[in-house]
Amino acid sequence: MTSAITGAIGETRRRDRVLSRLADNDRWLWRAMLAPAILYIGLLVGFPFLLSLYYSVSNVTVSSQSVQFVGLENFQRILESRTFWLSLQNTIVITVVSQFFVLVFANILATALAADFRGRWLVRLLILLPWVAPISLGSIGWLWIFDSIYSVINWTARAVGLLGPNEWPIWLGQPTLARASIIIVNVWRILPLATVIVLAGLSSIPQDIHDAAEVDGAGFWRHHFQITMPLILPITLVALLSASSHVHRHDRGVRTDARRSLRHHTGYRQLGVFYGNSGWRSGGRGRHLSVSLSGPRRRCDPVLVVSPAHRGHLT
Amino acid sequence: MTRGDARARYIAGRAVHAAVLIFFVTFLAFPFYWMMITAFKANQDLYNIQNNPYVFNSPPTLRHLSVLFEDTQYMQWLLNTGFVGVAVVIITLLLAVPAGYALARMTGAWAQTLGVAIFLTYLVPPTILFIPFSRIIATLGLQDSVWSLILVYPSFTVPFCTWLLMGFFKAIPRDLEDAAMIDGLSRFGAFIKVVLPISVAGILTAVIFAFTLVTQEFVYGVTFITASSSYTVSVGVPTFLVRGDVYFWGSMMAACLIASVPIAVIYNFFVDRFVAGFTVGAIK
Repeated sequence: MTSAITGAIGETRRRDRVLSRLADNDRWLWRAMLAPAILYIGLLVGFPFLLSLYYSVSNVTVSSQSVQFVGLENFQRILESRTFWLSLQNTIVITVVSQFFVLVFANILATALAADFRGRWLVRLLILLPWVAPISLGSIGWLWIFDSIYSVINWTARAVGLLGPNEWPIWLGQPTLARASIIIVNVWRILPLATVIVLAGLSSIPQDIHDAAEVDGAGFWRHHFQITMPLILPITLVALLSASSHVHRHDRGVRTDARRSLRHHTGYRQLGVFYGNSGWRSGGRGRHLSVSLSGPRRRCDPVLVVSPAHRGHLT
Repeated sequence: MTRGDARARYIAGRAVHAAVLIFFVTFLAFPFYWMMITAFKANQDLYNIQNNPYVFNSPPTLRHLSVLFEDTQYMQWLLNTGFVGVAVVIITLLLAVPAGYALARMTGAWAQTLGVAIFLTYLVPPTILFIPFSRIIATLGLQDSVWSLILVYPSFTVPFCTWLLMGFFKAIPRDLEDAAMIDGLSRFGAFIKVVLPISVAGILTAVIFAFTLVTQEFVYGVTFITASSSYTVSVGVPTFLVRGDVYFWGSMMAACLIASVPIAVIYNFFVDRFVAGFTVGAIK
């Protein structure tokens, strides 16, 4: 009995010694394992990022190889441009409204999917589709749905009597409708990912808590708003964060298509559309860049503000 | 509450549940139904506003598909996308798996800071980077080659997958490696022989995510490559099937469907693991 205890203590000591010795070697191992990734990111994100900062204060263009420092001229030109401010405003409105709908819809849909029912796998497959379809192709599908002549939405609305004989909304041609269309496509695109994440949050809540609420007589709404919602709040924020970073990354396709449709409606372009028409088209790369820098930086602000506060949830 | 009330409430609940599902499935999947029906419709049917657009008014046709495969290099674009995807996934795994593990096991405050810093680089939008990149690509002589995409795409897949894998590795108990190390394995040996085999789900998640990010990418693809034989699907289709103001709707819808549906089916098999991988770092 006694020998067994001393044996166990000896074992623990030996174990501690081994671990502390290995911990010293680990520092070099960690460095070696991290170095390739950090090197790659440094070369392929850090370096181009610095280069783009420099380009934004230069007169670099597509056609010429010479690059001269021009100070804040590009920024000044952008800040004076009415189109820039309109684009910025559109971007903010569209992002905020889309995120609001995504948040509400993802919670409703995830709650509906959390229950067990027949055909659940099929529903899940259909719901995931927008997320996996390449966005440039998915948005072409929407472009066809919103087509000025053959819009299926208008046809259906007329068939069921919502539209009179002389009413035929041009979805991508009328300012308010164009914004609404972009919001619809954004929500369509982000909702699947947000739902999947909220659903994961829902399924991580221990069954005991639901049982306890049941026993205490909480009804559906009370149960949902006072128990489930607070518990999944952190993950909902993660859903929003990753979803919005996805929008920033992937909505170029939508924008490019919107650009075609909205070409003649200057005031209703989003930022992405705006870059396409000003800097890039006219060949002024430096000018284009300063838009990018003041534009998307701003658009990313909410993301950057959210992340430190929820670092605990992210890491 | 009487039994009749309870029954009525139950039925009402089921009805609301079904209504919610029908609404969202319609919203999310309708564009794909629409792509499918458009892809097989004859032009005279497609462009007649009097016809009911939900059904075939003339017999279905394979013309749009033959335009897609015979008049464009769609097959080549699919192959390019697959090739770039596989190459990027390999590079991403080689870089992100060790980095994610190191970040998960390192102690000290700066390890966490480093993890967040790496994730933040994912948020740098391509709109800022693509112009400097195009100069770098030109200097390297890689313009018009799919290798330019293979070089650049890891710049966003590596940060994301590192973060994803870090969460996964954190969820694996340290005791497991400690035990293996007491049994004589080195830390690296324990990583290879003990940690990697039980992390297959997490690694698979990273693979799927990286691959989808690649198929989605548009900005770099359209900037670096002007030769149609090197296009990826997401660039080639909108570039070639929109000529001026003429949209080849039928062929485009077919192209969208063919590129999306197989990935969606594969995704559905892995979605549970994916969700676990995505949230393990977030919840714990």
